Amino acid sequence: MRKHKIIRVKQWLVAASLAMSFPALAFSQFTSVKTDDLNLLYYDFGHEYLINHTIRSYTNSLRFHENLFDYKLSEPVTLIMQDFGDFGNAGASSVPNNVILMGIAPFHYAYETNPANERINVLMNHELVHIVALDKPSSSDRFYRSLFLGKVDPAQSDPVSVLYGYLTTPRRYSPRWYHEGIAEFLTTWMSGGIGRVMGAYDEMMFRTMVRDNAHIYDAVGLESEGTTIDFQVGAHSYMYGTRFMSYLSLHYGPESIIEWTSRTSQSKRHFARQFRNVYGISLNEGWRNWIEWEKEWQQANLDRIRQNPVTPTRPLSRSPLGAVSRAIYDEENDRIFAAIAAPGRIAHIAVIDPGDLSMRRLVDIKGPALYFVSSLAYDPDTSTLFYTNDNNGWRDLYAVDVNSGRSTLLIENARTGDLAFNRNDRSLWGVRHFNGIVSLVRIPYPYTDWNRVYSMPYGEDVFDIDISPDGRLLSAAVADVSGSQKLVLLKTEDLLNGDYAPEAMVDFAESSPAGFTFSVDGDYLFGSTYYSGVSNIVRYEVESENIRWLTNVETGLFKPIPVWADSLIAFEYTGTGFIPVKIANEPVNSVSAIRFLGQEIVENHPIVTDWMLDPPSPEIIDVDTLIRERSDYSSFRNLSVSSMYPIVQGYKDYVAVGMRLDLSDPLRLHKFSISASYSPHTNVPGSERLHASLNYTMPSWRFFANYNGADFYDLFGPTKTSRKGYSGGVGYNANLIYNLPRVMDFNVTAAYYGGMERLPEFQNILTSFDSFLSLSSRLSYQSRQFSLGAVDHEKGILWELMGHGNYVSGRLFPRFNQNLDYGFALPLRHSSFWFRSSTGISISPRREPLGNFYFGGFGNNWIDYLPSRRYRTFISFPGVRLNEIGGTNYGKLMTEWVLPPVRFKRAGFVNYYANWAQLNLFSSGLVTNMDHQETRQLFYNAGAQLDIRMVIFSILESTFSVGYASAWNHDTGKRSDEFMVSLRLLR
Amino acid sequence: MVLQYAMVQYMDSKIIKLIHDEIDGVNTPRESRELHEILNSDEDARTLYHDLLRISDDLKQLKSEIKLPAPVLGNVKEAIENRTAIRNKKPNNIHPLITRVIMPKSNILSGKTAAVAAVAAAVVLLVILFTYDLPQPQQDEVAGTIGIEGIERAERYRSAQISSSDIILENEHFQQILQSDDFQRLVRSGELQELAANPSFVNLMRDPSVLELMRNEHLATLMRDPAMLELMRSEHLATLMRDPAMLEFMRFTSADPSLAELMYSNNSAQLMENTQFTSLMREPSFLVMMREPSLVEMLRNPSYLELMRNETFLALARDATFISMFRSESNIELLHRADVVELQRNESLPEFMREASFLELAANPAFSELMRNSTFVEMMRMPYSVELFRDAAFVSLMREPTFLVMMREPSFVEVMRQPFLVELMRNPNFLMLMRHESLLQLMRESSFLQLMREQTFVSLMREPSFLQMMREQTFVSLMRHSSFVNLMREPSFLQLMHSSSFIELMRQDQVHALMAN
Amino acid sequence: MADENDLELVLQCLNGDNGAFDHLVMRYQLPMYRTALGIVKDKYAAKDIIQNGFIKSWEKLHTFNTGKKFYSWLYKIMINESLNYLRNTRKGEMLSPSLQDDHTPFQIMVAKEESRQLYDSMALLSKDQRIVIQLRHFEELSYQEIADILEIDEKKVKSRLFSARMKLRELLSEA
Repeated sequence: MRKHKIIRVKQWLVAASLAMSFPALAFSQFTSVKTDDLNLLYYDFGHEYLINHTIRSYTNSLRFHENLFDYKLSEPVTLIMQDFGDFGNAGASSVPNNVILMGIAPFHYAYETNPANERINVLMNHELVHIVALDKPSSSDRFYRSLFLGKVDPAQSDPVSVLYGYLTTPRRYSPRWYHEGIAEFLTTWMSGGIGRVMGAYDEMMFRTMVRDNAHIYDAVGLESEGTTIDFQVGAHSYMYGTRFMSYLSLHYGPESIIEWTSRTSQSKRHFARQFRNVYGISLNEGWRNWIEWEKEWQQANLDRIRQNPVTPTRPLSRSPLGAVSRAIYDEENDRIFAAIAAPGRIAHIAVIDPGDLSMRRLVDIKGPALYFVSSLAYDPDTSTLFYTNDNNGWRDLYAVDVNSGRSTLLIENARTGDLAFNRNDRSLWGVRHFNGIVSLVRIPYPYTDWNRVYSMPYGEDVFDIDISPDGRLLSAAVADVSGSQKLVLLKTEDLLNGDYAPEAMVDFAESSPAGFTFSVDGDYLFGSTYYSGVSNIVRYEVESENIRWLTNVETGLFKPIPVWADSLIAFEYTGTGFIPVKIANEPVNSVSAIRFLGQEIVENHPIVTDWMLDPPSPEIIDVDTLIRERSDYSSFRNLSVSSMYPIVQGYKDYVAVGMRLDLSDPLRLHKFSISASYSPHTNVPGSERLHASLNYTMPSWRFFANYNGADFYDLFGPTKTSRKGYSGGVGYNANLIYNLPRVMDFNVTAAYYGGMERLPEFQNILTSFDSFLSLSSRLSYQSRQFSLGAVDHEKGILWELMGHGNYVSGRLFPRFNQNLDYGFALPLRHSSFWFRSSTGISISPRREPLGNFYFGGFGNNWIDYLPSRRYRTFISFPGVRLNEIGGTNYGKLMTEWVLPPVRFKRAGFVNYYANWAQLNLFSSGLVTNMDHQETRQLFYNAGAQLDIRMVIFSILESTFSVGYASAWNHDTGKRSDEFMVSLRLLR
Repeated sequence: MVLQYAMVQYMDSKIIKLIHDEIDGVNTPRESRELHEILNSDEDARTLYHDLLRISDDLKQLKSEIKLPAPVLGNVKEAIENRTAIRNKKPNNIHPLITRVIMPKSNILSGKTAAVAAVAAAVVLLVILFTYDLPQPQQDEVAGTIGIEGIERAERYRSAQISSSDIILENEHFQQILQSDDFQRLVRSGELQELAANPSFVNLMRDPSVLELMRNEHLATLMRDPAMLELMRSEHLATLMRDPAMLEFMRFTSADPSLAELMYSNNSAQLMENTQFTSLMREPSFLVMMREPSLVEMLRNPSYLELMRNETFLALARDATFISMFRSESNIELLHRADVVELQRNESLPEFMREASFLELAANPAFSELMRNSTFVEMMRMPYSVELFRDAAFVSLMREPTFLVMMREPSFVEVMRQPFLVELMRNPNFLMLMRHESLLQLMRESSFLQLMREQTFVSLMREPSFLQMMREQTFVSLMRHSSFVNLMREPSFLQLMHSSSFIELMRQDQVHALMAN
Repeated sequence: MADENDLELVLQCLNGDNGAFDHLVMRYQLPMYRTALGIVKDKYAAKDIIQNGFIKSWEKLHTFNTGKKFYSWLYKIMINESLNYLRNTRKGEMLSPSLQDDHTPFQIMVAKEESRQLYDSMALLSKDQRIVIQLRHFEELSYQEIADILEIDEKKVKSRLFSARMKLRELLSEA
């Protein structure tokens, strides 16, 4: 398939979505629509239809927040509309500029973890809370912002900027549960009671923890362990945060959490100290009180459920599977197919035998979705299982032969899921998301292209479809903009004629009709609903349209598969994931409702009902009076000062002090930083006392220049990057493949060095001349995967080809080398084994320093900002000194065992705690000058490195590493060893 | 109650606090002593203290005067007994049908009041429901509202914040095109990509009016037509889209709603496929024609649109003369004439215009003059005129200058109105006759018209013999004679004329000579 | 207030003896009525509010924390019911002056001129100020009890109370 321009635009723009922290990757032609407080950017003509509605929703939400928080935007918000993924989401940042990145695709509705009402209205309500909570300044914040000319975004190269960042936007340094909690709380009431505070999934999660007496994390443990070892990973922050905020609102009134999260001149800078300021108790104490209260609350709900007989369930697998997709039962071979994703296991499709409960892996899932992993459908006649990869991006449609395990790509970027197989004509049906619109599509055999059957109006979402065994009927769940959800039955024949005329409709109001599946004879539909507050399995009779409840469980049952006449399979929620269980196909007489914490809040604090927004309709907000300008967005024209602050640097062994100025555009596509410093110490020669460096990065290009370059990290440790002399250069990089996990990059850099005394790359190597030109390029391809909650890649391949040439007084000294890493996951959770090889050759005289490769040492500085596992780089060789081993050609092989990480339930304090520790053992062999007996050197080494990840100020992740290695020279038998201690600041 | 309004603003806040605490009886003995010392020396403080004390006493008095208007215990007891009865009857559920259907759906009352209202309503209706005589609601009325005995619905506050009427989107219908698989295949096929790489297309796309064009609802519906999308894949459209004239045409036609609807209706995609038509669209002159409202009016007749697909018409439309005829003042003026416009509504006309013969005729300069002749227009409006025009002979007749002259004779229209004319016209002899100079002269005679009203004469004219007679100058001059009309009324003369001998008679030199004198 | 006896009655009621709840209604109907009346200033609405409030408290009796004071818990329910009524009435059409019964209960019951002046001044206070005045001066609750009911801290109760009295004093001196 010819790589055409729109896909390449997507790749650049996917990088723009990362531009928040790694700018200068993306370039595209944005169109800008400006109001007084918004700069809306979009890149696709197909998204224009949403612009006015987005402006109305944004303005509507902003006015509410300005009133509630008594807040005025410090600068307009830059809002980027994008369609990079098949499911909607958004992110917000206010440092250095207010930016919101909004995905216009529909939400996924797995287990009601997302609200079903109109999503742009919801996303604006939610993201603007983040902007207010981050951007609203107290008088002291305002003072520091004026002092540093803006909101300081900590720069890795000048970690002292962390302090300035804290002074200018203190609340940015708060845990994720704090920000997500207040955002989800307000979004629920602004949307009229639809949201996580009224979340049935949230009630289920805590109810199950109380029932199973599971550990409920404290504020520290949640961030260090809770959001990493659980199959829901980061989503935990949302549940815990919203729940804690809701508890506080119930007991201290909703206004109290506004007072807690609103940054005023009377408020404390740090979120935990402001908590004590408002509630008079410490955050930990408040959190403990909540957990005690939660236990009582959930026990009362469990008692309500137990007023009626609880349905018995028989497990069909030995342990919970983690997150699961819609499962399929293969009647002929009595086996279940399900895509599963659990911490410690790479996501894959499992074949489960309900008889002996055994399980085997069929094929990996690349890019699993958090809750539903992948979409599955099955053709029993050809034993072909259809599934989707890249589920968080643009989904690709695959098919796998369940007997041979061979999988083939059918349609790349199909952007289709919710698959259902029509055995009548061997066609595959699905739900496609594109430009924010949901379409029912049909993919006829041989499944090489799709046909659009029916496109829903914007805001109406179809999901969880199934086709009746005779191919006549299609069942689907449909959500409309008000958040109401229905189960609909449509004739496939009508649909193919373009008529959307539901035969029957069952109104589930605010609870979702999930996972409805036809029985083998087509007379019934089995699905699940939170109607009573607990997700139970229901049976819908197609003919009479009657609904019967089949279960009354304590936790929650989902995704039923009608298997046998008297029983069926469903997936039961447990604290560590979903487990397939067998239940009787027998109606129950009564099911009691549980109480919702949200409902308790409404009844005790009716003020939250006043927080419901007016609708963002044209009668209320006239967009034409708001829009000031429409133009092409130019990053260059939008460059502005983002911060200026004093810095400290190291030059050789002396201290230099100076200033740093940063400019960038709101999207951070163009970033310009310039720093200048001065070394006052008399030992520094006069000509070397002034230091300056300049960096300008834009999409695909980087320009840099240094004069007596100095570096903060030179103050700490053996590795020195500061160099006498001047240099300047330009770099270009291009992203050739971006289809996660497969990524291919190419970059090339040309630089001129003058007035040098040491080689730029090898500090201990003196140069025999003082100026030269260098050209280096790198082509890298990687396809590496990790399981949920992993701290490092656990399998895959990384291949790099590098070329480097130094041109000195008319002579060229080229060097080429390549690195190939291959690793596979071990049965131990998050443990893997890797082979890392590297070979290189230099076409230059052996004696010429410029022409040689140099190896040696871990390479980490005591305080550092480069990757902490530097022992993996080809130039490192722990156990010998830096640059000790040289050669014009070499061969290197390393084997590495990455041991399972140890997670700390609670190691530290709210402000400073350790997340995890991981030990890696490695051993490698290095041979240089293989073609020259006299100078050939052969070295071996073995070593270990322990990394401890720490978090300071809630978001600043640092890694403390200690390493030891012993190396010995094969020829001389001489042994040496090396200890390494390093603290890497700001991951 | 008279209170001295002491200047409180400048009193020490500590004193004010002591006073309030004393009123509330929460001062410690030491604080009370301290306060009373202050009161002894500070008159303002004393005044404030007495005022507040007075207010406190009056509030107590006010409290004693408030009485319950009516006991509430009775109602509370009744409500509690009902609930207890219901609870003991398990299940304790509020039929969702009631809370969803009976309660006002839109602005559900806020939290607690809603709950109270629901409880009150439920209490009453539950009693009725359990007597099982309330008719079950019709399936379609509340089809699909869950309501199962024994399944209690969780109470979750929810108020309608947004509805579909609040979401107004711009040209959402255009999305329907973008979602179609045909369009996506177009995108994937690279065709649009190459267009996108083509500078002229890119400039085109930046042209606001073209963007406006793209937003036109009708163009959007056209783009939904698979044939159109197939067309877009062809190189032809790419070149077309690069041609400013074409864009001018599309811009012009899409600007006028009626024309846009016409041009971009469902079946016009085939129109666009017709390379002849699309090349015609490039003719500047055609664009001028398209600007004529009357033409637009004409094109409103779908069959005219069909005409546009006719090869010959398209060939004609490219014919310089036709175009010049069409653009000529006269024609434009013609097109504005009500009768011509009326003519265009004649169902048969388009069919006729498809006749090759008409197209040739239309190329004849005389024809436009003919078209200006009201009689001809009158004639063309006759239902039978189409059949006439199918007759090659008649069409070739129409090319004769003489015919044009005949057309100018009012009398001829009279003739043309005669129902039998069609049959007559179909008669080759009569057509031959019509070419005869003599008939023309004859027609100028007023008498001839009278003749034409004579059924007998008309039937005569059908006779082959009559044509032969007409060749005889004698007969022609006989007919010119005023008395001939009277003769015609004589049955016997008619019989004579029918006889073969009459022709022979006419051929006799003597009769010629007789007639000549 | 008879806390211990309240608790005993509550426990009896939880065990199914609804008669015990009647005692509680009899004991607190007048103070609850005064509180509701002070907020909604409409005797019929106030009666309905406390009626529904008692029914709701009976329904939610199982959630009452026996470690707390019953009347504080009851006051909280009544105040919320009253605020709800105000909110909804405000959302709907406000009782237009013409509709208001000239003879509010106060005017009928308080023949004395001073009490009527005091009543009119109280009506001009803010809703929050009226509530703390009534809880303090009518129901004679302590600062802590008021804080528990209104879910605000004691400092805030005292500051509202002081400002309410000063406002009353100012209004009365103007009257």
